[in-house]
Amino acid sequence: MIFLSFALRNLRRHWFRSLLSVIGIVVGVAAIASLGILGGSINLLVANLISDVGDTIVITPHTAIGGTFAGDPRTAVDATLSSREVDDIRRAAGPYRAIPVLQGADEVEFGRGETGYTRVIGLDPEDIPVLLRLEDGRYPRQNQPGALVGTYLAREYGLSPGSRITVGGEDLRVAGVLAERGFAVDINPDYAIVVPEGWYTGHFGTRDGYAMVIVRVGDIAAIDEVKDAVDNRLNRREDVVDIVDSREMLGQYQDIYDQITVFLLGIGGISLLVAAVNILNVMYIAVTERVSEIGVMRSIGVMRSEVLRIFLYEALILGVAGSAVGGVLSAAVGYAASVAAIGVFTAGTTFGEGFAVFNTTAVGYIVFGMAFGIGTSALAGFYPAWKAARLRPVEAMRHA
Amino acid sequence: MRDRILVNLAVRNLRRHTVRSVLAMIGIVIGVLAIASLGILGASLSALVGGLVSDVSDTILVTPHVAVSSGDPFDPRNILASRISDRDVALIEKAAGPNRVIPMFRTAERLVVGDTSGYVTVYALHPDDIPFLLDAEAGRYPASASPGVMVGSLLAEDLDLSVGSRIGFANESVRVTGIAAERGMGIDINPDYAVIVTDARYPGEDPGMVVVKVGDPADIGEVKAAIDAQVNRRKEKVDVLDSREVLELYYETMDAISLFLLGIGAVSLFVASVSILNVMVISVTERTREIGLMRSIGAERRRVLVMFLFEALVLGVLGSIAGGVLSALVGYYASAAASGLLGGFVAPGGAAATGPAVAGYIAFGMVFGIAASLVAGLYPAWKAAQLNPIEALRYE
Repeated sequence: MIFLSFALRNLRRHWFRSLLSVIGIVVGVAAIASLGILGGSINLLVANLISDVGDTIVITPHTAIGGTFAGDPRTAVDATLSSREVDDIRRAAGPYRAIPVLQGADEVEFGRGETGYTRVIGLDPEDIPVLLRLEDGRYPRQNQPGALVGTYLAREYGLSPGSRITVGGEDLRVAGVLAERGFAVDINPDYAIVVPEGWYTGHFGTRDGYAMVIVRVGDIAAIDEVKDAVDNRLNRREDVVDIVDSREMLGQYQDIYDQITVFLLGIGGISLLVAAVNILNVMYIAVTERVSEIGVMRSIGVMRSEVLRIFLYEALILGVAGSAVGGVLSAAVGYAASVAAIGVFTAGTTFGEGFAVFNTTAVGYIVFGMAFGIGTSALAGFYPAWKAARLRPVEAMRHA
Repeated sequence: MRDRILVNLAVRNLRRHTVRSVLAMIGIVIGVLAIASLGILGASLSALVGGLVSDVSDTILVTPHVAVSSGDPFDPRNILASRISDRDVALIEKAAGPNRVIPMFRTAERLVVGDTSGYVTVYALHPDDIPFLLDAEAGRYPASASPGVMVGSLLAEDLDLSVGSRIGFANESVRVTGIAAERGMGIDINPDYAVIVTDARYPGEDPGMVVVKVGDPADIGEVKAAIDAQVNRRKEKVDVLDSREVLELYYETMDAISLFLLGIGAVSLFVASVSILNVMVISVTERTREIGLMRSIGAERRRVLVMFLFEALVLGVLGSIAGGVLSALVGYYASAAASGLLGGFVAPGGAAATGPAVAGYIAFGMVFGIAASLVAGLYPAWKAAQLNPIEALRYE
């Protein structure tokens, strides 16, 4: 205990330089923790935009170029699959549910003369509850035409179950409003209307143009098996379809955002490194200044390990004080930075509407930053402390 | 040259305490390194995005009015198979006056090249319009009489196509007559991975969008208003966009990211300057008696001030030079990593910041580092200069 008060006394004696060292640590910890929080918020935003549709395989017409990256603009091609191909996929998928998706667009009138082109998705009424959840209303039935409207569309035009809309001149009743779904590997109905397959083919007159087939595989273990089965059956002679599963796509996004978080933590670490160099410097100077004092202490019976402890305590006190202040600051800075960054990333779009940054991982980053700050301070203090402990008492006393 | 002595004194003082001088300098090195390489990284990201996006500032895009869109022009969810009627095209032509109106139809066809096959995006245009929208890198533009097609440069590169190659296109065998120059994503047409054909191939199809090339960019607002007034008179039938409006958002985002990266670099430099301040304060305290002695044998206050400022300056200059050299390397690697991460699937070429931009950021970082050291040295130097000679001599 006496060593701790020694360390405190020494720091107080040079309060200005101690303060400056603490400021360095404060800024370093605040930087690393706020950037960590920022990374976490960006991750959260993306996770919020992307809907994890579980164990889903999406089969689309094979594009000449472009990989399986779901956001690749090269794969945004308006190609379709024929019903023969859909049947093949159904057979290959075996017991798992294969859901063919019709996708088109038409001019929709929302009443009061408001019109606009809207994506129209046609699905087998039996498949709709498997794929989509309702916010309000009921699912339509094959013989009882009704449309489901995406949540953003409903919000924009004030639609609710029972509203009447006109799709390409044909009247249709809104049966239900879909729950928000976000970016998904398969379909994105937030801005669209969903109608039963029968109504779709009757309206558009097309029968053979499926934009994609979604296979819901209940069992993660079976995903690769089903993918292989579809690949073997359809892509035998030449590539006809591209097969992507939701895990793959989420993994790709996760990789990118993990790297961004690591990068942000890393650049936060730079400031902390500079702060650690500062502590190393100050402690080093303190040891040099106090050589004769150390000599006196050693000669009256203070042990090496105790000298080491005094100096380590000094570094630790600087580290703990700086980290505590830095941790508190970073909660505020991290929050402000996250709000600003999300504002920039989603400017002018509907992405992230009503999205609240910050969650429990923020606390984790603050703790991490503080631990890192204390750790680097102790590390920076170690060499000077070790050097002080190694001094030979007699020579040290003689030191002017 | 009395200042020469002061420089020598400053250097001697720094040498006497090698370890602390080196440590203080390391702080500046890292700070300059951080600010310059993050600046370079930001510039490379901007260049990468700039390369992806083609700013067609003389272009107005007219598309069928979409009920709700996400607001992001490159969001695939906003691409709808919607059409503009012939009557509306005629109205647009009337509103656009002397400016060229280019109706365009977008679809997809199956392409077979050797072992590779699959769907590609197809743009169908009137043969007279194609030269107004695209530059030919090689070969000729497709003509209405021949069935030849033009392919985008990146598609040609990926599939190893050249002028005269035979490809399977929509179950026919056609010749590649020309290759369109690389262009990046524009709001109007993204030809790099597409096939461009004449509209004779799709008779009777209404265009999905209409591009208006405005001769004088100053007229853009006027033409937009005219189209809006002409076509959307009774109800909202088309959306009218111009490139600047759409891309502004992208440029703003990139600027914000660059600024953010520079800011984080500046934080490290701030910590480094606190470190210099610290070392200099300690140095002034230690040398109080020495300062008293100098003052009592006739050194002026100004001289003491300058001597300490020189010390800070030497630390700053040496640290900044080392940091500048290092940041050229680190910035290059960071940019390569970032463009590898982002550019892997969107831009095969990969883009980097230009030489002058890199040099600019390094110079900026170095100037910032030197300035930060000077500012940090100012208070200790002032404090030293203010010391009372007699009291300083007595200082224990």
